[in-house]
Amino acid sequence: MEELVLELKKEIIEALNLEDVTPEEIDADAPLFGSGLGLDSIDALELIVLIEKKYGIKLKDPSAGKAVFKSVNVMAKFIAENRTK
Amino acid sequence: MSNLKIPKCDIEMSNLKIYIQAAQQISIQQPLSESWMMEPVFYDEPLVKAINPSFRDFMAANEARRMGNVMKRALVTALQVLRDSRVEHPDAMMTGTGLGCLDSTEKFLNAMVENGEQTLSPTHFMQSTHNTIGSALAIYTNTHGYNTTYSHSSMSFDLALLDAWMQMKIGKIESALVGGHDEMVDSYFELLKKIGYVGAEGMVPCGEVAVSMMLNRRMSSGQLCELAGITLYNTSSLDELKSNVEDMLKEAGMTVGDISAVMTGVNGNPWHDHYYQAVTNELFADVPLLHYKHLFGENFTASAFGVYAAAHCLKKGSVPSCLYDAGTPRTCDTLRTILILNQMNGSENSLVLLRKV
Amino acid sequence: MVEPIFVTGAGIVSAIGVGKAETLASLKASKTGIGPMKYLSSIHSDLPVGEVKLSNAEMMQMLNVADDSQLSRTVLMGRIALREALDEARLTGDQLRRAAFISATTVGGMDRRELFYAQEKDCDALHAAIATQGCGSSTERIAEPFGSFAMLSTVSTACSSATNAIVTGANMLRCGLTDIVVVGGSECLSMFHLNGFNTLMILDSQQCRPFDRDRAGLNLGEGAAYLVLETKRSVRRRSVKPLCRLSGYGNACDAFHQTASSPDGEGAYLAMQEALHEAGLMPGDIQYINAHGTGTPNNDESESRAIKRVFGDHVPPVSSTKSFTGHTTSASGSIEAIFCILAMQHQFLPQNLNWHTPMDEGIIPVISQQTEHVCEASAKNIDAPAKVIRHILSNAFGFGGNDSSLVLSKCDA
Repeated sequence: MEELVLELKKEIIEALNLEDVTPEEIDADAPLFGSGLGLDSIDALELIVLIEKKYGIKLKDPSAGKAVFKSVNVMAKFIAENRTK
Repeated sequence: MSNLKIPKCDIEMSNLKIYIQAAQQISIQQPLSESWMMEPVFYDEPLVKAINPSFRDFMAANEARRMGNVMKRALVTALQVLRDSRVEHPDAMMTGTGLGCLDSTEKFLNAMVENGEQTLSPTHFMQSTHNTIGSALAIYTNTHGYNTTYSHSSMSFDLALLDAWMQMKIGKIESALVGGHDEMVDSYFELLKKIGYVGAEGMVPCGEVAVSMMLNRRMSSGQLCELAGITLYNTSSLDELKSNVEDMLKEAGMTVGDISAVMTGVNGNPWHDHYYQAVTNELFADVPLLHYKHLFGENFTASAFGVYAAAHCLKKGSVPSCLYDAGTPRTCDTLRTILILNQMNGSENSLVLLRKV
Repeated sequence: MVEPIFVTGAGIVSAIGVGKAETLASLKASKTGIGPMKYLSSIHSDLPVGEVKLSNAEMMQMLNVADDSQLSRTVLMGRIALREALDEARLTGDQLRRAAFISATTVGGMDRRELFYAQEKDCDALHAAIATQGCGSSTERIAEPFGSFAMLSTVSTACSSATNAIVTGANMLRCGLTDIVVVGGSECLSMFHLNGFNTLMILDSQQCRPFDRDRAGLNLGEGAAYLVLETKRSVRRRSVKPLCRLSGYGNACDAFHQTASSPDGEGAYLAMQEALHEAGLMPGDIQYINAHGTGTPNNDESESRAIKRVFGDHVPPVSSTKSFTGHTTSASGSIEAIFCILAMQHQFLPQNLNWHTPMDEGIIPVISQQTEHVCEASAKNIDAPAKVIRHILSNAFGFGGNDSSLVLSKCDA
């Protein structure tokens, strides 16, 4: 799981072009949206594309993303349970 | 909340002059600077990318992370112009762009075909609609006024300028941020080269454009010049064009004899330049001749550089030697006015008249 | 006193018909043009769309143009609509020389480019010419067969493009640059923007449901529409009969987000206010609003809020006609302006199709055509049923918060 969490942090940084952010700076339990990284609805869509492209998970409903992308840890757990790639 | 003034047809205001208060550029010359006047840089390559300023000096990484180069440059030139003119929220924003965020468009198109229409980036699509640049300026500065984008090949910037002019003339707005912005990517350059738009032997390089300027009905210290007239007209008849020039000059209280210099968009391609030569030979045979694309390159909104350069010359009160066309009959004695000609397809013409304040 | 602006010609092609007569019939019969994808080739063929019911070949035949795979569908539809508008206004040849042509598009020739993209890398000059057909060249090609206009322009502000073309044209008339302008837009479906909207996850997999509590997104459509606008002096000089007046218009920026509208609909509110103010009208003078109403959760909520901010407790009948045509993006402003003109000429209210359940705090749209008979649901929104439609407000809100509104009025109102 630790490996996946680190990998996920790197993927998020790349997908969302968070130039100044390092994986170490991302708290895996902190909320991704709202505060902290300050991500918005477009970022949520990019993350939906990311999990399909990299892990083969297709999220049809954009509002389901809210729960899945709560934090890096929550995301990692979801991916571990549902990945097809 | 809103900062929109309820517009009115203000006759008093419509009699006031229109000034170019400030103008900034990012291009293949030194960015945000007029050093090109004394130390122009010349290039041999057919495609030259713009020299970027340090974007970090203007916006946080987080704010700019989703923006491609053309958008960042547009924003920086706009922010600088807002600062120069001390206008926080212009009444209107008019943007001209030939290809918009080309990089995003190409990336989205390429991925769409390669991935079989799956797993595509929403960010790239969002940036591929041409008005995304003009919108970004409004979002960043929280400006709710009139906002529009023109995308009409080499007339894109001129149409944006005309819009600002028109609305000022009918008293709808007092200030307007007008810009011309375009970038280039290698693969698209190759396409344009095949159709002869850029890359031909002897041509100026294909460059990238970011020009923002503030138009204002109110005088201010530090303003560059007056925008004394602008006309866009579709004709391939020299007689009709001559008559349009005379009409525009008459409205500005001038005649052809009052033009200190003519600036054209020649780009070194004889198929393209002969249209300009026909006009200047016929209508302005003895008028000092200037050009600008040899410095700033060719691209759809390159005409913005013409207006920018001319405005700064008028502020300075003189024309730097690097702007003179090799075929100029003479140099300027006294610089009072500059007429800028832009043409497209041998028929669509733009005439912009600037006057010293 | 602001010089009045008259509409003297109108031409249209969309999913509900080619030309005004067919369009009117569909509107009155509440017949939607949204259905399965037939002409566009995409892997997402299960998405309902509002296609013009003609193939490119059929359009070329109608236009007497030799079969040419280079010609963009945007250009073909544009020419069909432009022809109808110019014919109605009797604007041809020499007279065209006085007129400016302002067209709107975002797709341009992308439908051609994406079709041949796989061979683009090492293509020849001819292919390169097709690939580089931008917005401006679409405008030029639409205008080409009709003669030489005094000036050409292309507006590109996404979903409010055609409305902004109308606004720019109107400003040109008021400024005295010309007496006649031909304004509108054309946009064909393309894989590019179908996929783009799909990736934003704002497409409905069923027919869209504007202002419905359970709405899930928009359907994309295509079409073209043009209006001929003239000054009073020009109308008199040419002895043409106006259809209606363009009495007001507004353009404001939401300045909130590139793809979402602000919760309080600030840009929309300002655009509507400006249009009313320009027209010299109070909110109570409007008898019908043709909403932007895409059917997305975001737009319909934001637009409802903005409408209520302008109209308070007295919201006139509102409907979105996107449940007829789908969202025709850059052409929607002029297509829907013509729907408004037809509504005013024939005194009926275009319905908001496929509506079933009211939104929380949303506007309740018109689901009956008769101006006298107002159904129970929409009775909440108006004081007294309007007998005669004199003034119509038409909205178009684009990505990036480019929000614009028009007020169209009867000539004698």
